[in-house]
Order: sequence, then C-alpha cells, then structure tokens
Amino acid sequence: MNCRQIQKELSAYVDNEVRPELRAAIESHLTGCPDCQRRVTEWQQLAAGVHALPTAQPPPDFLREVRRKIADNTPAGTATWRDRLFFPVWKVPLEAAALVAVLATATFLLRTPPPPAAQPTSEAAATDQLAPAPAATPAIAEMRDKAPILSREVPAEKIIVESADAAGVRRRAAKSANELRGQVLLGRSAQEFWVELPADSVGGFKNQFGLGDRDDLLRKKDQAFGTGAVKEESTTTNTALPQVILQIQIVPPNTP
Amino acid sequence: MERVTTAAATDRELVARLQRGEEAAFAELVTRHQGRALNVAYHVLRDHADATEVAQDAFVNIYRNIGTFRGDSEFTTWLHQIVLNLARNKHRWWKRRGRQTTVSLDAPHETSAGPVTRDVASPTDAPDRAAVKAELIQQISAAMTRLPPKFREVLVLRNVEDLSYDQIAAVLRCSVGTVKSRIARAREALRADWSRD
Repeated sequence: MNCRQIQKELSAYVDNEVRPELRAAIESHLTGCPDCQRRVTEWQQLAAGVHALPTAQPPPDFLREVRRKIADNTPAGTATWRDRLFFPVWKVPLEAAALVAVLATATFLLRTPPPPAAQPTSEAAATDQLAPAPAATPAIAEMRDKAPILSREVPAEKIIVESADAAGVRRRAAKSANELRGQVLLGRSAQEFWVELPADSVGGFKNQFGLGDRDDLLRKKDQAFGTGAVKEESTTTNTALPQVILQIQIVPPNTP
Repeated sequence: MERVTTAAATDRELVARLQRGEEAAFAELVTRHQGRALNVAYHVLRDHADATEVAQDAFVNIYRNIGTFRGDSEFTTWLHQIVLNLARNKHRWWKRRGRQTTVSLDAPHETSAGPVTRDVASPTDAPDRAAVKAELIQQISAAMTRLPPKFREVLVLRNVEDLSYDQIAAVLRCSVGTVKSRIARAREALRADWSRD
C-alpha cells in the first residue's frame, strides 16, 4: 500500500477499527514513513483532546424538571419561553424582515401623491378653468388635514354633480362615506373630490348620497340619464381591489 | 465488553418495568443516563441550557413512547438517536434566528438550581490523555465549535461516548463505511482548524 492508501485508513487505525491484516500493513508502513507517523500522532492528539473536553453536569433538579414537563404535557422539542424571550431580535427571520419591507414599501406608496393619471374630461377641465378653486373653508381644511393623500391612479367611477354648493356636496358625501366605512379624499381642486369605499358599499353610497333622487343639491347633468339622474361615466371597476375610488366632479347648475 | 452487556440487560429490565407502568424504573433510567444525554447534547449544541432542555425533552419523549420500544437495539442507541434529533431541531431553530453560540470553558453555568460546573475529563484516565494539555483542550474546544454539527456528532459519539463504529452506525442509521469516512473527514476538518489557531 502506498502513502495515500494508508492515510485513508489512519483515522480508523487510531480508533482501532481496522482488520488485523490491515493493521499489520499500516504499522509496517509507519516504521518507514515519518509523514504518516506524524499524521497518526495528530489523530491521536485530537482524539484524546476531544475525549478530554469539558463535560456538562446535570442540574440537581433534572429529574424533577423532566417530571414537570411530562405532567404539563409540554411537547418535547418545542421552543421554550427562554428561546422565545432571548433570541436575538436584531436577527429576525428573513421572512419577517421581508414582510416588514413589503409593508414599509406599501405604506410609502400609499402615501405618495398620485400622478395625474385620471385624465379629466374636456368638460371637467373646462369647469376647472372656469371656476377657480376658492379658499378652503374650515370644513374643507379639516377634511384636508384628515384625509390621506390620494393613492389610486384610476378611479373606478366618475360622477358629475350639478350644484352651486360644493362644500355642501362634500359634507353630504363625507357623511355617507363615513356611515359606509369609507372616507372622502381631496381631489385636485375645490370642485373635485374622491371617495374611497369598500367595494360592496358603492351601491349604498350612491343611494345615501342621493344619486337618482331629485333634490336641490343633485340635479341631472345629462338628459340622457333621465330626470334627477347624475351622469356617470368611465365605469372601470377593478373587482380585485377591496376598496373602490369614486371621483366626484361638481359643476355649476345649468352647465351645458 | 461484559460490563456493557450487563448494563444493557439492566436497561432492558428497567424499560420492561417502565412498560408495565413502574414509575420508579423511569426515575432510575433518567438518573443513570442523564449525564450521557446531557453530554451529547452539550457537545453538539455547545450551550448548557439548550443541552439541558434537549436532554430533558429526550426523556419526556422516551416516557411517552416507551410502549413503542421493542428492544431491537440498545436503550442507549435509542436515547442517542432521540437526543441527536432534538439537538438538530434546536440547532436549526437557533440557526434560523442567527444566534452564534459561544461557550466559556471556565465559568460555571448558572441555572435555576444554582451554578453548575463543567468537569474536565480526568487526564489520568489513560496515558495519552495525561499528555493532553489544558491549552490543547481549549484549542480543540474552540475548533469543535466551528465544526459543522454533523462532524461534531460523530466525533462526540466516538471520542466522548466511546462508541464503536458499529454502534455509531446504528445511532445514525447509516453504514459503517459512512461512519468511517465521516469521522476521518471530521478529524481532518478539526485538524485544519486547529492548525490555524
């Protein structure tokens, strides 16, 4: 046997786990090979060193604690209160860190002002130009403070309301939205605001807000929708979203 | 060899008594083997508190599953298997949470029952052990901590528990050839690490 073959067997030789004929061959080789002799000495030192490693002594209450665990019906091998209490919180599991990152990103995006993706109709744009935004009333200022910045790019539905009392329309919409777990969001002008609602509350909002009813506040915008109706357009409801955005455009009465 | 046979027979007798519902037999099994279970867990996990919990959980496991032990293998083989499984689970639990284990060889370990010292194996057990210096032990202990758990397991079973290759193969449920090569690779890794110190 050559050196390489012998070296493969030296660990087992140190453990006295080789057959007698192999042991004889190894010992014969060792007498003339200083390298292998040195290797055997190293293995023996390491084996003796591992054997001499400090041993742990059981605590005096070892058996009592075993009996307590049995009595408590504690599942064996589960993480203990000590594990959960003292594990290094700065090294949270990767999945937890990823979840935090996703939530942080989502929060950031939800607080970012939307790009002007919802193209106003030429009619609404004209209205904006004709009726510049008045100074915010206290009620509007309050809504502006409370309302989160609009985050959706495209409203599910646009509703045009004829009214000379834009603030009144807002208040009424806010009241209806609040009752339906929604909220009013500020739009780009005093004549425009947005309502965020649970998807299943859109119908209720329309009913409470008075769409379809004739009154002083809401009047027909487009005769094509019939008396007392309000023009509705661009119904592109995204059913995947739990929240639905309605864009409310307020125009002066008798706007052509 | 005769001592081992006698001890194994007694273990079997205790197991049989426990299977008949004799609680005192369980207490005797725990008292007899708690040090063995704790040591194996301790050398694999390198943490006294974790090792104590693993060793205790191993006996809880044995108590609950004593009816399934048919006696095809030694009781200590079964015990070693359970301890190693629990220690691996504990190691994985900590690894997922990124804990780095460190251990002091000198300081006594504080427990709820007071300080518990770690005893160093007597250097007078055998002539070769007498030659082992404290510094060497310290170096090897540090190198052991850095070894993969799979390598620590085989070295502990071989050099701490003094199991034969056949017995280690039974514990690890692998072939003797696998045990032989794994021990050699573990020693080589240990030697390489030790040489760097």
